[in-house]
Amino acid sequence: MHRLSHISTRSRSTLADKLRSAVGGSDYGKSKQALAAGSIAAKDENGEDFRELYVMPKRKLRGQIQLEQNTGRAEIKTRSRFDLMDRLAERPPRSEEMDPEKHKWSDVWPAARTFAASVVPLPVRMGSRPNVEKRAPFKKEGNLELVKIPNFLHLTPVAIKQHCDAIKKFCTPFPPELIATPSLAATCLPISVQYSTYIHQGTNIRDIRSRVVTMIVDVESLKLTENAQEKFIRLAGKRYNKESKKLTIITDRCHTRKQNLDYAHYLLTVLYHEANKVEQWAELKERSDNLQVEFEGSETKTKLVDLIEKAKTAGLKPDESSITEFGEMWKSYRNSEETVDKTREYGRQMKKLLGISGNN
Amino acid sequence: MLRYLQNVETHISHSYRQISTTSTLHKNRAAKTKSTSNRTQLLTYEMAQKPHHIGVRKSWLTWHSQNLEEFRQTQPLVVAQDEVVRRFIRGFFPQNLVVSGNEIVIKRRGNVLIVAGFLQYSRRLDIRRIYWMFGFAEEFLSILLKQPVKLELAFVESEEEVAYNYI
Amino acid sequence: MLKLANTVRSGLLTSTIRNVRTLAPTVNPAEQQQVQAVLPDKLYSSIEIEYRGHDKAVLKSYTTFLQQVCQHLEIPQGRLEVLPYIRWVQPALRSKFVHKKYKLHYETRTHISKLEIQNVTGSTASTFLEYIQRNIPEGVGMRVGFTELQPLPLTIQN
Repeated sequence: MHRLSHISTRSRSTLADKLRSAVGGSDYGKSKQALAAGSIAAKDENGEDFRELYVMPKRKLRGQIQLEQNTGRAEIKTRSRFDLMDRLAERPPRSEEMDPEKHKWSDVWPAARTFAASVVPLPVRMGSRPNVEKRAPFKKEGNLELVKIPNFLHLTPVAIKQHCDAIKKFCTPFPPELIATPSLAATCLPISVQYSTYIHQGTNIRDIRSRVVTMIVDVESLKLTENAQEKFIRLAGKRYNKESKKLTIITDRCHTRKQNLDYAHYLLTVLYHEANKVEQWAELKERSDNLQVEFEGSETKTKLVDLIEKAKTAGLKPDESSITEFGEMWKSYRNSEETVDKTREYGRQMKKLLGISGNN
Repeated sequence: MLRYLQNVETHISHSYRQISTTSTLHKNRAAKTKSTSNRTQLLTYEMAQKPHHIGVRKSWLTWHSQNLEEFRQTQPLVVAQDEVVRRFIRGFFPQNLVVSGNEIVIKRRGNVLIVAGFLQYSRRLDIRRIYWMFGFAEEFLSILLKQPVKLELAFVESEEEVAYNYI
Repeated sequence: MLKLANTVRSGLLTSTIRNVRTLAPTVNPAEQQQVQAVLPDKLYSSIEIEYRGHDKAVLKSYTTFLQQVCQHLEIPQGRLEVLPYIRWVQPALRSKFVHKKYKLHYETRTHISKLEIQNVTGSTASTFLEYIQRNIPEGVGMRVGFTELQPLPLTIQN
C-alpha cells in the first residue's frame, strides 16, 4: 500500500498508465482512446469523429528527390530553350536574297539610314591596318566605324536623278533677258538685298544671325539732280562708296529679317526725299563747302589764264583748247591721293598747255 | 542653421579622396586599357586606337553640328542629351550591352535623334521582348528629350563579333 | 514759402502728366502704304552655300551630291571653294599640380566648303535648297547667303 500511494501521486504519467493497464484498472484503454481520438473530442451531427485532413503535395518531396539523386535513380528531364523558336527563326541576311533585276536599290534604301551590314550587298571594309600581314581584313558585320560615318547610300546617282525629276516641275526659269543684257538688271533692279539662313541639327531652328540685312543701292538709278546727289552723299556719309557709286545699308537693329528689310527701305525712302528737298539755307553755300575741289572758279584757273596770255606775249605757243583737259586732270589730282604717276601727268599737261616741248 | 552647415561640411570633407602627390598620376590615362596577364581583356577597334587617332583612324561617336565654328548655340544642351541617352541605354538593356555600352553612336538629323550601334543577344534572344523594349525606349526618350528619337541598334551574337584584339 | 513749394509741386505734376508716354495708335498693316514692289517671283543674282563639318570626306561627298543636283535641275553653278580649316585649340594641364611645361593638347578642326549658284528664281531656289537641306548629312552645318535683286521701292517715284 505504501508503494501504490506513491504511484497515485504520479498517476497522470505514461508510466502510470502502463502500470495501470498492466494491473488492469478501470482506466484501461481510456487514455489510449483519448490519444487515438486526437485533440478535438467533439463529434459532428452524425456522431463521427473529426477526421483531420492531411494534404500530400503532388510532387516528389525534397527528401525523396535527394534520395533518388544520391542513389542514382533520378529521372532527368531535358527542357528546351525558352528562346528556341526565336533562334530558329533566324534568316540569312537580306543582301543574299536581293536580285538586281527585280529590286531597285532606291526601294531598298529610300531614306538616310545608318549602315546595316545585312542589307548592303557590297563587300565594304573599314578600319586601318598599319601592318597588313599581321591582321586580317575587317569584316562589315559588327564594324562600328561603318556605322559611325554618315553614308550616302540613299543618294546614289540614279536616286538623285529620280528625285530631281520629281521636283523639277516646281522650278521656274530665270528670265533670259536679264542674263543676256547685264545693263537691264542695273536699270530695272537697282537694289540688291543680301541675307543669310543657317541650318543646324538640334531642337532649335532659330539663328539670331539671320536677321542681318544688307541693302546695296545703285545711286544712279535714283536719278537725282546734281544738288540732290550732293545732299544725298552728305547724308549717307560712310555708307556711300564713291568708286562703285553704290549706297550700302546694313541693318540688324530689329529682331526679324522682315522688320530689318522694312527699316532699310524706310531709310532709303527718307534719304531720297530729303535729298530732293531744297532748303533755304542751301543758297548760302560757298566754294569752300564743296565736297570736291572744282577747277571752275579756282584761283589756279584764273592764274593759268593769265599765264597763257603772258606766254603768248613771250613768244611760246600755248595750247588753249587743252585747258578743259587740264581742268579734269587737276580735279582728279586735287581730290585723290597723290601718286608719282599723277604728278608726272600734271607736269606733262602743264607743259602741253604752255607749249613747252621738253624731254622731261 | 550654422551648426547644420558645419555638420554638412565635415560630412563632405570625409567623402573626398586625399590628395596624393605621387609622380605616376602625371600620366594621361584617357582611353588606355590595362593589359592582362592571360590576355582576356577584349578590345574593340574603337577602344584599341589612342585618342590622338580621332579623325585619322577613328571617327566620332556623336554627330551634331554644335561643335562647329560659329554654330555653337546649343552645345552644352546637346552634350547633356548625349549623356542622358547613353546612360539610359546602358541601364535599360543590362544584359545586352557590348563592352559596357561603348558601342553606341548618336546621330542627329534635323530634329531627330538616332541611336545606332551594337547590342548582343548572347544568352537571351527573345524577339518580342526586344521589340517591346525598343518601343518603350523610343517613346520614353522622345518624351524626355522632346524630340523624336529613333533606335537603329543592330544585334550581334556575342561580344566576340566586335572584338579586334585581346590584351 | 509753402505756396512756392505747392506751385512748384503742381507745376512738376502737370509737366509729368504732359510728359507721360502713351501707346502709339495701332496700325493696320492692310491700310499701310505699300513700300516694296511685289514681283511675281523673287530673283536671286547669286546664292552662296557654305557648309562646315569636322570630316573632310563627308564634305567632299556632299559636294559631289550638290554638283549632281545642280546638273539635273539645270542650275548654273558658280565657283566651288575649299577653304582652309579653322582650328580651335585648348590645352589642359597634364598634372594636378605644378609642371606647367607639360600639357594635354585638345583641338577641333572645322573644314569649310563654299559653292555658289548664279541667276535663279525664288521657286527654283526654294526647291533646290529644300532638297539639299533635307539630305544634309549628320555633322554638317550650313549657311546660305542670298543676294536678291529688287526694283526700287514704290515710295520713290522717278
